[in-house]
Amino acid sequence: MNTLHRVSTILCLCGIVSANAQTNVIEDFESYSVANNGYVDPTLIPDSGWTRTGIGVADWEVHCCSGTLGFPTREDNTLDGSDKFLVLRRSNPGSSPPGGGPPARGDDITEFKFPVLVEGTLRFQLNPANTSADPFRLALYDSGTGKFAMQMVYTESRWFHPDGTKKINSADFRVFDHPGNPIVSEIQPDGEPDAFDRWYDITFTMNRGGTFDLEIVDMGPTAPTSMTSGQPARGVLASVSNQTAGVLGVDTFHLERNSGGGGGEKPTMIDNIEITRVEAITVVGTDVGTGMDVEYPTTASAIYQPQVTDDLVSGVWTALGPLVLDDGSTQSALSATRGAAGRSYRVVVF
Amino acid sequence: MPNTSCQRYRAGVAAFLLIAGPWWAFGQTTVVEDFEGFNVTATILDPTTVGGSGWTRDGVGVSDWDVLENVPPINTVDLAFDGTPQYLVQRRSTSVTPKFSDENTDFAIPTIVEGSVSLEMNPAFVAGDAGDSFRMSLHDSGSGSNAMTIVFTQLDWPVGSSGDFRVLDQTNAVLAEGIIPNDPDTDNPTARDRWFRILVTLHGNGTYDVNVFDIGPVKDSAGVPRPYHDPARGEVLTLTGASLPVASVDTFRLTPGSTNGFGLQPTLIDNIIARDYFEFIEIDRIKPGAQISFPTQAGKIYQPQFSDDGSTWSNVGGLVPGDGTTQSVVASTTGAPEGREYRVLEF
Repeated sequence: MNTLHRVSTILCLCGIVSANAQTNVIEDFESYSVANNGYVDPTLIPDSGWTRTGIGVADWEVHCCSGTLGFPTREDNTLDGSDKFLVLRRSNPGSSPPGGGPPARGDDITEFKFPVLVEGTLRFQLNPANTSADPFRLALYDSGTGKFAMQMVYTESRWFHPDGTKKINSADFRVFDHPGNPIVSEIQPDGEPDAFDRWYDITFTMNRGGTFDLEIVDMGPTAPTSMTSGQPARGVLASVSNQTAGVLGVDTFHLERNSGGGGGEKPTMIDNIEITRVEAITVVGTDVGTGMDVEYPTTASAIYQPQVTDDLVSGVWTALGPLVLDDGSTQSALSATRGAAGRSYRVVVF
Repeated sequence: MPNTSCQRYRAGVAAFLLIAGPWWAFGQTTVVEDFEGFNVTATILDPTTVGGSGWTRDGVGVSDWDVLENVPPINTVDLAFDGTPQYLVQRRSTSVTPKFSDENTDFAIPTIVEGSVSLEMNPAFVAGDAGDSFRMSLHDSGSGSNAMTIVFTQLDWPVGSSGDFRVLDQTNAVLAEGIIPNDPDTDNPTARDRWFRILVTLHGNGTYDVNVFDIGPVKDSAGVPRPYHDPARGEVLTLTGASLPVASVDTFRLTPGSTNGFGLQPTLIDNIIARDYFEFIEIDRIKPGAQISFPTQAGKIYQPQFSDDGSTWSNVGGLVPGDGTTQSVVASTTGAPEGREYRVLEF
């Protein structure tokens, strides 16, 4: 952390210095204006980088202040001792989380956007809640393709291992690659007290060419109190390399729906999201000319395939982009024309 | 009852399926089976018992698939995706015998060499017993062979609650697997309680594609979304350019071996559309766009961008892998102010 350039703006782009310089994005939540024991929905702050899809009360909010909580039994201090962090404001029915209440689980998709990470690391700290639901569900997305590189779930209890056994209080991380195959599925011994009430450091490394590495490190018990054994940091729990990402980069920290917060006490906390990436350079020799923008009407849930040909006589048509499942809006298919004359277009509807 | 049409005209009577035969030879036939033409007087109706329906089955005993009219007091199943009252429903359950579908249930479609078959499907959640909640093939009655089989499995493949699609070839080898996470936790929002659109495209050159789209969550008979109500998640399976083992297909076939959990929320099928040609829509207009061309190097990755103020940059499309050639992307200029700037970043 001390090698990074920490600034007061919420989303920091440290600027282009030179080719291969490091660009850092730090979301440590300290720059939000939050009263003691207060909450702020970060998606309401302009230029914060946070957005959510959903209605009603936000699932995730910035909370203050670590170490001076009005509910000392509810929440833990941040690992680094700083005041603020992101907290999941969901709970089981019947419990009384501060300002929470139904729904019992998250019903938004909450996202943090950052400059695309083609080569570099995304790292954050996590303290999951103790719950029979999943207190933490994350995907790292590429908004350009709409595909995820990796999904991660932390589950306290009641998940089924690939061997068919039902895990009770296993308190474990599971990680899935882009095709959805589990690449990490059991990294903690079963039994209680186990993995809740502990801080984890999670490092995702995007490799050039569409693979990723991942490391999950147990950094130690929460403070001021921990319901676990209180063991000191347990070190590296999982480390995988060169996993299939299915995308060339990621630009979205995507918190999924359906995370729960147990009884509302000691909810899931996230802090210090850091992105360190190889900076891009601007390509010299870029030319801007005239391409084609093919507009076509659509109807809800029909499937469309724009196509292009340079030779109508041949009857050979080539797909112009992927299939489009649409909702009734006007769509555009964009076509480069460089070096092509007499290009023709059509749109198949399925 | 299917609607059969020639080119873009859709007729609305079942009898047309029979008299339209000569048109099929011209390769311009659309068959739409939305199940709304069946007269379901007793809640459910075996479509194979209706003359001219195009539906047949090759087993005995109770039918596996029936048309259901989802009106009160039926309230244990989901609404059709399009809100219409009738659809096809699987009548098998782990709580009754036989637990699994035990016959081929066929629907006649035009002989397709080049064209497409699509349908909407809401798979059952098989919680009590392992099983596939949906199994279909496109079949060639002439050779007696299936072109491919498409399977949805909720449990026990390859792990519990994978909730995913597979495409199998004629030897049952897996050609493609969906990308719904193989998440073993049944509490998680995987594929249950959702509608999918399955599209099979036959290219006329001996190859075919299969694409499966998640089109959104189910709603119960009161119109309330079920718990896992993410909006449409988009494409969840892609198979491109698979070798077609038959010359053509002429049958939509629901194959044996499918089931559902406890009889509630069974697998639903609606809006089967089969065409023996490609249908095109009229393009509104073709207008100029900004074509951004840039030299690339193999191993580098590129991101084209635009800006209207010279300081805030937005991406034009996704990342582009370099290959040593000059590559081009096009940005729409609709609504763009004068002086829009473009650049390409290299990583």
